[in-house]
Amino acid sequence: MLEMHGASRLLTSFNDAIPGYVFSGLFFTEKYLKKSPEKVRAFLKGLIKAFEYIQANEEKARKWLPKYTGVELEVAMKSALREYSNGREPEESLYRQQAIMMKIGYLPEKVPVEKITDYSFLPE
Amino acid sequence: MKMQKLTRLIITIISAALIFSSGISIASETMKITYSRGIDDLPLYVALEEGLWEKEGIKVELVRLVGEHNIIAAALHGDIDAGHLDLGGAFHAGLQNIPVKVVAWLGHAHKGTRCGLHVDQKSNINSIADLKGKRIAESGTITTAMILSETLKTVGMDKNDIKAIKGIKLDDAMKHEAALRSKGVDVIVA
Repeated sequence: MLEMHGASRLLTSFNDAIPGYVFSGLFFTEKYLKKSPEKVRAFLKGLIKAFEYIQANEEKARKWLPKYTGVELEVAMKSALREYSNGREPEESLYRQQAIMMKIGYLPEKVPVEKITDYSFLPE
Repeated sequence: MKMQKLTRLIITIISAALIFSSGISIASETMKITYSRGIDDLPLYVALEEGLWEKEGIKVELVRLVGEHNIIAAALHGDIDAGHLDLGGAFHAGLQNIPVKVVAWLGHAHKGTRCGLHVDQKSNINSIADLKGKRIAESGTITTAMILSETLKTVGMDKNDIKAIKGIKLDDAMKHEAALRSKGVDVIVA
């Protein structure tokens, strides 16, 4: 987005440093998942449809950005978007990032990916 | 006999009413989901505005809440239904046995990604090796720490070879622009 203002140029990107870098996810509490599995399934179904919608109608989708982000429409139409998958990310990508976290002292020990994720509510 | 039948009928009606009313209240409860005001939350805006959640029979409200600790606390307290967590935050939550689970990831970087290390248009920094001794502004999050570490590693450098200035927010383009133009910093990770 910074480049859109004409102030800067990109020296190197996140993807150059860590290809396929996984940024963030959406979480629920375990209590909520047990209490309202159908709501979670419905929520994720809508979310994945939004991923598909963006792929099929990117220009139309981008027009919602100014309303929520405050960026100008011109910037919203050009800014790079993430690549949205099906809500899942390869385990090796997650472990690769974990290894870097451990190397730089952010994470003291290994945490199994299955301890932090539950994809069972996602549509197939 | 008639009395027993009447009692059974009343119990059945009350039970049905309770089930029905609880069903209605679950369906009509609005789900509160955090959002960051960032471009990366586009799927949330699209799902809401294009009625994709409504078609699934749920109502969703996007609520602005920042800071992973605040978001996790709000979820555990029941103030929100779902929230954002970066991968580092998720691993830490797992390490501390906090009972949360990431149910979907919101995308990943790719060849067209423009988040990264930005320099002024006229800067004489043209390669990663040129970063030695430079003032690099970054948010101080795990994301920027990892990106910097991996970038510097490619030329045999580490964080001790640069002057890191922490605290700049990734989504504050106007501040980034001002910082670069004023020469307050040489590089911005954003």
